[in-house]
Amino acid sequence: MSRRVAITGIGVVSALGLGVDENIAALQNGWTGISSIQFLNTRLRDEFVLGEVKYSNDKLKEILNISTGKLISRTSLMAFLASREAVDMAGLNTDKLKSCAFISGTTVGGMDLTEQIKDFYSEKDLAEIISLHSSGDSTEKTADFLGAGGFSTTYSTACSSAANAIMLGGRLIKSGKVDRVIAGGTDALSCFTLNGFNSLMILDRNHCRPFDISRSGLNLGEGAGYIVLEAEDVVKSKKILAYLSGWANSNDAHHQTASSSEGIGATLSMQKALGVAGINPGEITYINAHGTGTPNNDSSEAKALANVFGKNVPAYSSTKSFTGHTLGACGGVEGVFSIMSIVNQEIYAGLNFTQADEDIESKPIVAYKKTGVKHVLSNSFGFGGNNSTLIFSKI
Amino acid sequence: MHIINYCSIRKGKIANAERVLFSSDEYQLSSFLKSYYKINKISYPKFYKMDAQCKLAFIASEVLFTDFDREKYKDEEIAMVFANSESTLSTDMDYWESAQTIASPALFVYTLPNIMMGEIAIRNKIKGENLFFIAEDFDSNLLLQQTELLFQNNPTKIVIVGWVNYESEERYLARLFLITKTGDGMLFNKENIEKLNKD
Repeated sequence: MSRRVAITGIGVVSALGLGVDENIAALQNGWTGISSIQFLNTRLRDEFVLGEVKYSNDKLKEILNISTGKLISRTSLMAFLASREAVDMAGLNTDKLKSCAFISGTTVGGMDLTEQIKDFYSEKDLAEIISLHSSGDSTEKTADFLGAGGFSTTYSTACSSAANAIMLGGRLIKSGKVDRVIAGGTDALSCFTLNGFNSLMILDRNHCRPFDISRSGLNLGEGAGYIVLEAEDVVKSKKILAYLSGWANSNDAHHQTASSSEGIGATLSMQKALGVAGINPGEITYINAHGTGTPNNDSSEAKALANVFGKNVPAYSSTKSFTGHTLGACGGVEGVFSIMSIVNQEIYAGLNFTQADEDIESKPIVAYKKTGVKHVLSNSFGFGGNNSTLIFSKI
Repeated sequence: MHIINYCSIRKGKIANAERVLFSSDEYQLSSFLKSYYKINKISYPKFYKMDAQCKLAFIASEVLFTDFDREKYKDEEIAMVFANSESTLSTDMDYWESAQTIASPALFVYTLPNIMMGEIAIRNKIKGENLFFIAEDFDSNLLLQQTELLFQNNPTKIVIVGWVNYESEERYLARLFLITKTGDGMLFNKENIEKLNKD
């Protein structure tokens, strides 16, 4: 059994705003969401900039009509908003949701709450807060919130988590195991990750500059992005936004937190995804790169692009210069951007690029433009050498 | 789907499908694994940098690959699907402790569960697909389904299926299965997984 995988709904929350419209307007107009720290309770407050979602937890609860006293992680709150938008857009009713699968990627789960416990002995809600800690909690809470009653699981493969969740969704439909899947990811900012990335010395204190020769690290961000996938044969008159046509994952087998200088894993995942989609490299119009802004990633990824596309590397950019690196959610957030690139027939430029490395021939695009977009490739690479590529195609 | 090899590590014992290969009165995982490492003359300095859970997965994979003709397969023809219930909780707590003063990069690296597959991939030059799940208990349905999906994808020919859980120096468990798409030997199905898991 081999069925085409249609995309009928998308939803996103990021530093650029709540919902697809706010996010896309920012990408079109070059408005970054990265700014000084407002919400994360950290002693590094004055040292770094972050891509924070510009709403407190109380405000997010208010928007969702959840009482402010309810204990719930920021990771779940963002997932509720983004997935609800996707489900509403797809017009999934209660009946369809009953059998709909929900697959979500995250790396921190409820860390944003547990790490703020001051004293484990006197914390009155200890048991409840701990119960929200696991990665699976945000998945279960979101599936319940939506009423999605089918197969449900959580991916935790670092920064490729959401891309891998979407990939599994695609496979489950293609192989005929399910008809509908909501897939994506969510990750809230936490001191745990801020301290960790700081300790690895891969954070830039200023705005990140993906692919630029002066780049010196990434900015962390947060957000959620979800996509409704449906088997083409069960989508009747509904408007299909695009197709999920290709996907692949590979291991770089090089280093735990660094990419190989030749971009081996990234090359493999892109080549395999093109194979699954059944298209030639020359047919890709736009690449939403992983492009974190670390010297290592961008050099490795640019070399992988040259390996796959030769001298004709398609237009590419990193939208992490707008949102920050949303870690386990980035495959979902950037998946939504990639789909909108097809829907609106436009490509989004990254920010803060002026000059490429001396040994890199290609350059990312620097200006937003309207153009015919047929296939979009989106990369998400994670620690552990976990590299994933998704390909979205025009109907 | 067939089982080429199997390895379990628990309670101071390392076993394959047929017999106990190594045992020690020393239940404490670190010293137990270190003595296995030394007796078998494994030479891989990166081993010493790993956290306990990765060491557990690593040694299990070394046993699993014994007598396996790795050269027969291309790097991207071998895939991995792993799961556990603890994620990396033990190292998370150590890391969090370090972050109260200066966060340790050496610990932070190991706060991601898929890192153990990364270690196995680096050691054995495995470049195929790899995914990690967190499940409450050993879920043979999930692992069977995922392995089947991996085999539907070209070019996967071999899948390493793993359940690796480190709770403490006394409570730990690794179960690794080396699976081939075609061939002969014990079928990789629910019944046989349960049979092997009984030990």
